[in-house]
Amino acid sequence: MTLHLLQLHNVRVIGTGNVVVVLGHGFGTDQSLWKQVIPHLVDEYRLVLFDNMGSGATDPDYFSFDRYSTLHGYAYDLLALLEELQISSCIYVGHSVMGIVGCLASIERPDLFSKLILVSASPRYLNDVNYFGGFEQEDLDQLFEAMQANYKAWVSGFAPLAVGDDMDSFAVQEFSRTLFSIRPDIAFDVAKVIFESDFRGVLPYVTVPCHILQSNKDLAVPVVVSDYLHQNLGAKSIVEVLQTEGHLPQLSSPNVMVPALKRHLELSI
Amino acid sequence: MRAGVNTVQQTLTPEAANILMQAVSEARRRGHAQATPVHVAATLLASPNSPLRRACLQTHPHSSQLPQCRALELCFNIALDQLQAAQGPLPNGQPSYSNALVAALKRAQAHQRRGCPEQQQQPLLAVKVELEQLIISILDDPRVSRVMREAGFNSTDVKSHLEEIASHHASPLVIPDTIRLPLGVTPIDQMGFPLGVVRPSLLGGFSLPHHINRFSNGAATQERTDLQHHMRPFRITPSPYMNPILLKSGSAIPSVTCEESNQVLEVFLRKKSRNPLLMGDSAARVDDIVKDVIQRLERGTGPEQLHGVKVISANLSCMTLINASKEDLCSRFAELNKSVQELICSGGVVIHMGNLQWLEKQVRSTGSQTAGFYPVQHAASEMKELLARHRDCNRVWLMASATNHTYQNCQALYPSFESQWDFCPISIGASRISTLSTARCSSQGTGIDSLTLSLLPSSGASSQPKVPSEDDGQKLTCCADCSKKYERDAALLQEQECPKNPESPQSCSSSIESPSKAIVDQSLQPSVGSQPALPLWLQKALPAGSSSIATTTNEVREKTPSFSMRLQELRKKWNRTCRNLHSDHLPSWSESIEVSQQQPSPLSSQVSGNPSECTLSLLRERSIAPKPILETLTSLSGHHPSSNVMPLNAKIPGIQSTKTHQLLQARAHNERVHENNNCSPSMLRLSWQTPHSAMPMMRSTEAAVPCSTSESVTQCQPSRTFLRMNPELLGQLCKSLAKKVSWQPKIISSIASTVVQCRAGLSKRAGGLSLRGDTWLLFLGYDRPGKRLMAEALAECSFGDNKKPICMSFGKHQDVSSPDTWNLGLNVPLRGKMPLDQLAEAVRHNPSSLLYLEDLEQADSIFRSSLTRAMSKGRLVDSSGREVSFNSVIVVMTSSVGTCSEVSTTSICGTQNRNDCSQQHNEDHGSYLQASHELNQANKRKPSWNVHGDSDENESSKLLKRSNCGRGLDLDLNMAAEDNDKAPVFTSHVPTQDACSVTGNTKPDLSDEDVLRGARIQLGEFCDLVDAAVVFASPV
Repeated sequence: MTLHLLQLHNVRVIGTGNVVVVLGHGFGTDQSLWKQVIPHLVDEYRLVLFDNMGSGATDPDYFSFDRYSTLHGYAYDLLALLEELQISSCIYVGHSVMGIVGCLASIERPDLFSKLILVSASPRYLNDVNYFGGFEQEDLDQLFEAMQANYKAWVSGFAPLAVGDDMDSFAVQEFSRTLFSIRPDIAFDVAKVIFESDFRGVLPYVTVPCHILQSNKDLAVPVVVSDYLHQNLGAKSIVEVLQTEGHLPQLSSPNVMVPALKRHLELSI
Repeated sequence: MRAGVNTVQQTLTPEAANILMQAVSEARRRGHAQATPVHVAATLLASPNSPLRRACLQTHPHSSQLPQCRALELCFNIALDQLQAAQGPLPNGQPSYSNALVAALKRAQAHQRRGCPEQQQQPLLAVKVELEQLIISILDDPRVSRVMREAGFNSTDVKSHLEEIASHHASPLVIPDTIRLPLGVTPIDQMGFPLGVVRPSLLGGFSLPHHINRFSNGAATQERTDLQHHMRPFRITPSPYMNPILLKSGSAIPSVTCEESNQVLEVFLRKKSRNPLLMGDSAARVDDIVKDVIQRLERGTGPEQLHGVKVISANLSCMTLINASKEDLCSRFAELNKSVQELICSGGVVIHMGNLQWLEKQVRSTGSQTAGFYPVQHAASEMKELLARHRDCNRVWLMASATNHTYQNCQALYPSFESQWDFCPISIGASRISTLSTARCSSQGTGIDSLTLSLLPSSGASSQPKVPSEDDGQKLTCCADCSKKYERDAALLQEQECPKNPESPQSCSSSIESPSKAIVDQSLQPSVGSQPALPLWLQKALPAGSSSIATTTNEVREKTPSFSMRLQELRKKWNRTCRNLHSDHLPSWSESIEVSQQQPSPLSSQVSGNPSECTLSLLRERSIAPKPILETLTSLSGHHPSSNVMPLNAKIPGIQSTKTHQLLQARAHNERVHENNNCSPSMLRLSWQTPHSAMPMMRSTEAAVPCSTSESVTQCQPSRTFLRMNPELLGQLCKSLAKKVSWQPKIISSIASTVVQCRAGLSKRAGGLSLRGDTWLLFLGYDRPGKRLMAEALAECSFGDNKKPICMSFGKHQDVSSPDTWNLGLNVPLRGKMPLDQLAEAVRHNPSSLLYLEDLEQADSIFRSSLTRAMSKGRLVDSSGREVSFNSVIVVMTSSVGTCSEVSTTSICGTQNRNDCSQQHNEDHGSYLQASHELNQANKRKPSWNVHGDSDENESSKLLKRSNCGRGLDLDLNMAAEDNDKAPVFTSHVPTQDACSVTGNTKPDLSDEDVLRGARIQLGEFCDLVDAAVVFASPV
């Protein structure tokens, strides 16, 4: 079973440091998202990399639409992995949706996390009264419709938008590759769950210090969201807005992202 | 009686004592005078690593653990909230232990003593109760199990799970750090990354300090082989966070499987009945175990005596047999025989026969076989011979698997196959799965909705699915003791016969009967005095002339069974009792059959007096039910017909028979059988007897019924049943609805029937029968006044004359043309309150009321998704996470989406209109949500552009946008966005409510289907989730 779980999530543990850093990738990517970051961290940290269930590198048979109908499913996966690896304390770096998942997991087991680093995370993507998440319901409807109609076409349209770069750029190519490797029905389901999630209510319960990293210009997560997180998180938090574009700064601008990430891993608030 | 805190503490191990202390302080915190088992259970659940929590999650039948766990915590919280606070200051400032808790502790102590033989001689105080014993005894507490049941957990299951763990491992709570892997699994993952290196380096770093020196330098590769022993800490319980899919399909064998394959291997070692027959309905589990056994045999990791034993497959299956000719088979068996002989020399052989399905299946289709050759029989006899030939050498084994159903059929067909083949049945997936699935098989036979089964909890293990046959009551088969008792009863019966007074309760004589009588009476009380027991909302709708109860009852009672029949019953009863009491392997379900047969009968004999004829028809159905199965099986085999009754019995574990009963009634209702008076003697026979063996179960039934929030279920069930059966109620409701909304005749019946059904707990949304009574209706179409009137009428019929609906409108403005009784206040939220919270608040104050949510399509998506969740759960979770029960709420949601094909903005009216409405509203102090008084302030708070917008007709695009996204967004961010405004957005498929209500009449008529389709596009799953979506035709 042990082997099984770790295998299914393609868990890799690399690095020689004493501090464990768990890297969680967001929607549409897999652990390769971090590949430009890893070389800079392996010497100081022990990195735990894994794929979320449902991402392109995992066996779709194990994707449970029921379990992952809420982000809690991922949070429990994360906790199961940590327990399986017998990690008693770690710094968790979560990108996009996995940032919120990290928050959820930390609410459940605050003892396992010493620090959360949230990269481009958003508790809610839809606009609401007094909340600007960046999406209107119509936008989402269109998005879902497009996803269902022609997944490939949607990917090729969505990837450049999300990354904020040209179609030919490395980051976009990379993102479209991972995005496209997800089984379309799973991608649709996951996207729906993510975009319709609203975890503003749980933020006050987070007790682990949070470092929020945010691209200056991000289609999926407006900058105000990072401020919202900062205001509403129950724990100490700090926001750094990176001078980058796009939702995946670690892919598109590693030169900015890596130093910032190292800084936040190193320093505590 | 109340032990002092300190004395009790001494009898516990530190961890158990710690839990107890926490529970006591919890009780103190809540101001309770006593610490009860519920406190302890809640404390046990509170810590994320508690074994109780783990066990709960593992035994829960459904995969999604999170909500269940939350529900459990919540239920315990509620239960604690309901406990009465102490009056006055606590003595000693400490809560004392309640009697129930003291009893639980004593139980735990007794168990503990029994558990460890070496401690048996020690004085009582020296025995320290371990935490797991404490948990087990806490689970025995009726109150705790009731609370757990409310949350969907079965405390007996959890308990047996814990006991199982406890019996297998001396101390399940301590995880041994390293254990050698039984199987040499190569620890390389898919990516070629050696996990053996990975894990221990982590282990070393974090939890096993003695490894740290070895691994921290990273030169771990050379120690790979050594590491493998450490890489998998032997977990008895998997992480509670683990994806259940992995648990189910895990290729690694969970420890339980190991236990069971051990059991199988042990069977091989026996002298007699040494061929394991794995019985279980979970094919995957059985396969796992078979695989494991084979693996262990071949690797020689099994017991020593089995070393060198090989496994061969007999390769018998339906497919291979169906077309096999005699020659084929003969040659095949000759081959098998040869290889068996060879293998015997090398140590022994296990012939794996696979699933025995072929044995059962083929025989059924024998009729179609030509030339008088029966391949199955042939194969079976060949197999038998093979076995007999090598019986002496003791080195040939069989191994087979079967589902419970198959097993029973085989038994029926070949009554002696078990002994001939020397089989030892081992039931796999014991308690839960087997019984349940047996029930599933059989229920298909009788045609009882498979729905029944989803309601069934797992019942006790039925490891010996053999039913003692011939219990037709023709002769007395019991032992001497029981025969004596029978004779005594028979004599009593004779006495009764003389005064001919069968219906007086005393005459039913036997002393055992009186307690059960009491229970029956209690459960009957509401239905006999039917008026007061009805829920408030339906008392009104009850027809006035429901009086003839007594007369009908008597009529029914007068038809008493003949004396001989009763004697026969008595014989039956004692046979049964004797079997239950004095036979060694007592199948637990044999009690439940009694209940399932008897339990409804006392009810029906009296309830039948009510206008609900169907109860009797239910009874009839019940009494007929066993027949088809019997007949079919008798005609098939002629052997032991009654042994096949078993599946039917197992289907209805007594503990849930109330529900089953209810469901059957529902079924009876569907079939609409209307013959109450000419009932057959067999039915009466049923209703007369109440054998004592049924009693304990009945009592447990009563105890086990979860207490619903407002009313005791035992009380409300008969009344609910009554309601459901009563067509007049439906008529009544239809009539009053039609009176109010005469111009919508088409939809009235569907609304009324949906409401009646849902209120009776039969909503399709809840997946059939439930204790929930919430009703969700979606009104589509133009007719806004019609919808309102309909809702009003519904509220009156359902909750009483003065009950007005609670309204929330998400539309932009008030419709002036609405009747003056109806002023819908809220289109601006209370300051600082989200509509969701308002709604939750409203329901909290008026738990049974009608909620009228107008223009739902304009509500924001949080609200809508919360509603969706509430629909499926029956509870609404507000934004702060608190839940409010919707159990007795009717929710009417209206929307006019899909009705308009274009948008007009002409009707957006100014604010003074709203003010008028709100004033009127404030005067009306019904049950309206008093919220609109905030309206004025809210308007003042609005940025000025809003007011401008209202007056500025040209900015139609802005208005359109605002109305689409619910209430205008009072958000600066958005305002900025709109100020930069772009080209006007024109969305043709998103009509505004305003447009519809005003221009609706002039729109071309759309068919209902069109409207529904349109609504489905707009509202998504809403349309499919509600109990009924009705389309109001446009008023002519």
